[in-house]
Amino acid sequence: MVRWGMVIDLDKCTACQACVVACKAENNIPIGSEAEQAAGRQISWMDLIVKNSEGRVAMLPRPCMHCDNPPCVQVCPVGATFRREDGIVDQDYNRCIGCRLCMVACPYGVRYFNWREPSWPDTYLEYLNPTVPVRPAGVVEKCTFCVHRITRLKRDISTGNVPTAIAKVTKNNMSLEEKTSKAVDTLMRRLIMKSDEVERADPEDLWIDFDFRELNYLPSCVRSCTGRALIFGDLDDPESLVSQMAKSKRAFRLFEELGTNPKVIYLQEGR
Amino acid sequence: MEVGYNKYYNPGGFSRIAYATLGILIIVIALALHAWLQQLTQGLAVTGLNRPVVWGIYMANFVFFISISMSGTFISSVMRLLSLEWGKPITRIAEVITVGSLLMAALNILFDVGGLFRALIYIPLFGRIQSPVGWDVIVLLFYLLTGLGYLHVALIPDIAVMAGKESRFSWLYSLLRYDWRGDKDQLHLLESGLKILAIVTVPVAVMMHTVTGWIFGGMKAVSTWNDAIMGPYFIIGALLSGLSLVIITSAIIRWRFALHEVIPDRTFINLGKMLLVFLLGYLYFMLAETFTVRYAAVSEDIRVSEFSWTGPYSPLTWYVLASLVIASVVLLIPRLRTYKAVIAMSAAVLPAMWVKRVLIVLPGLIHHDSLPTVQSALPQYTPTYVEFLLTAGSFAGLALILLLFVKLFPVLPVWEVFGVQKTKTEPTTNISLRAVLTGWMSGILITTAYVAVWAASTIIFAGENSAVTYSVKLAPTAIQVLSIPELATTAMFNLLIIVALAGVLAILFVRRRG
Ligand code: SF4
Ligand code: SF4
Repeated sequence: MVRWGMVIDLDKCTACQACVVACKAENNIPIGSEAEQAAGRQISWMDLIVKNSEGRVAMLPRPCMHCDNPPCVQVCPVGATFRREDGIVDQDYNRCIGCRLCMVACPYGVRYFNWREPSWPDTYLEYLNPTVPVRPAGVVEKCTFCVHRITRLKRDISTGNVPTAIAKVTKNNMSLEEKTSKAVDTLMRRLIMKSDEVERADPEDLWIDFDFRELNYLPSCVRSCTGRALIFGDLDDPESLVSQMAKSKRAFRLFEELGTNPKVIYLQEGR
Repeated sequence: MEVGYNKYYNPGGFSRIAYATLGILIIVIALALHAWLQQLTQGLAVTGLNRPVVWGIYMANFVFFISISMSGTFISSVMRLLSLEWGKPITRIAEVITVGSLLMAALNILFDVGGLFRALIYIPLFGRIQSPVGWDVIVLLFYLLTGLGYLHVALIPDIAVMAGKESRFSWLYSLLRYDWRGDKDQLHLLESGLKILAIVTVPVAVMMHTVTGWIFGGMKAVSTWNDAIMGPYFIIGALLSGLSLVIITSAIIRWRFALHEVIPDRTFINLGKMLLVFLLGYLYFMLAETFTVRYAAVSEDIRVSEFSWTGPYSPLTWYVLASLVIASVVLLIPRLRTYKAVIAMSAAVLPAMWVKRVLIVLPGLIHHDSLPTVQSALPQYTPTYVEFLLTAGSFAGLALILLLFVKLFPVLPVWEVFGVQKTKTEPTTNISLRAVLTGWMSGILITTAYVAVWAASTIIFAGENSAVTYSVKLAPTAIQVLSIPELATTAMFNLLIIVALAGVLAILFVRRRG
């Protein structure tokens, strides 16, 4: 079984907000005005939490926590938000009736309501992402861990249309889920590889005809994180990078006491 | 004597005041409809709602209308079960308030959702029993069913008398009288039917308000909401606001219909005593709530509490407290407890209770930003004119329902107050009273059985995290086919089928009898 999760290493996060922008571009999030921002109607699936403690300002990137025990799913009257078998808490925009019960139930405030029809400047329209639906007014939306990218990876694996490094780690006796999990882990390790490691590495592992676009199977925020602070992967696979990092002594999760079991794990800053 | 109460069977034409009221109500409703249209076309952007204040006045209205619905069927069934003679004349008014306010409550939820038509279709189709909305829809349906049944059945003897009179609506009356002739057997049947409905109503009413309280009580994310007190708190609040509306309405009706003999001052003073009990109870609950928050002093809860007691919302809180305390003091002193004082105090309590509903919804939500982000704004909420218009419109709607009712039907349950009359004309329909009663009963029974089966099936087939049952398949092209258990768990879809079935059964039953 796959259980997608994310580790956020606060030591590496520079609060540059690249993830925030990347998320907005990837997921067709309407561009809000300043007035909307002041009215509290800005949509931003990925955002930076500002924590003021003892005169120090801390910034925490905040996607949806994809709780294993999600209160938002519990309260939804029509099942428009649901926990997929791979652990992603997804949102069915065509089902959502916009009652906003889930927004009240979510302790992390990661859910956003479409107060108006989405709109973009004309020049922007042709850059909208065709693989992500545009949401109409009156529905709730939130981070999906770029579920469309995972779906695309799955499709490409099952059709055998993947780079050699991925083909190497996916053995035939694995289920599609396991293959996807291994593939994501490979991509993830490749993404965070430092330049000296790249020099030392076996060229086969780097898939010589390497195309940076392959990394776009990873969630948009992870792909564009400048400090490489976001690590995505399968928490159920003990060998994956993400589950190894999640075992760190610095690991903590937000509002653990609420029993929501978030799958986004933060690594505390070492001081 | 005959002449004495015959006049109640002539609800009669519109006086100038009634016309003026009607005009004002229609104007307000028209404005509200315009505002609603605006909201439907432009989205909820026309309201003052935002993040984190995702619920506002609509939600407060919903809770308020639900709470005043307590007045009617509950209070009148308690009066029936305890055989309180003095309360009889006001039971009908109370029942109409129940039905009207339940409709307005449902309407306010529809104002609140982002997709009106989706809500109307998807909740019956895909409703989940794990969601507070599921409970609320079920209980609301039940309450409406019992409330309507109660009102309808209790009307039959009076309508039968009216059917014999010349009037523009005599077709309606002769249709609704069924085969009522007013003999002993029928009276006995009617009274036992009403008694059963009264017994059914009490638990339904209790659950209605409890469940509404649990919408808030079950939300662990919002400080001060997650509290076991919510269910009982809502019940006592409902009793209080419901009763005060009944007092006000009865006073108006007594004035307009010159019912001073039927509803004497004594009745109001008795109602005032009931109101006092509820007032003291409510104050006690307020104390209990505030004590817990203040003494335990969880920092998030304290933030909310300070916001409403000493912060920006303090005028509202103190206004509520002052009204309730003044009302209790006035009603506590026997010398001050005149019928005028009772009416005045109810008029003071009712708006305070509405403000209190706002105070339940807003301060918690305004502090529902435990993780403020770079892009989140300062939490604030200013309702716009659309919200105010729709609020005014729903109050006007309730008033309109009341006005039309008292113009069409007797405001008093005349047969209960003055004794049953033999009807002068013969019934024209062959639908028997027994069939009508059986229809209501079987409707309620089958719905009950069905909801139980539905709940059990959701739990057995799907479990608490049944959301997977509803998940779309991973590949977006795959068409989702529902299996039988999945269909069974698509909840209220089946509920609707069963209600329809109950209707068919009732009709069949009637046919056979006829
Ligand atoms: S973080 Fe909020 S939206 Fe995401 S799964 Fe948890 S409760 Fe749901
Ligand atoms: S707003 Fe949509 S997703 Fe959220 S609880 Fe309501 S129907 Fe479900």
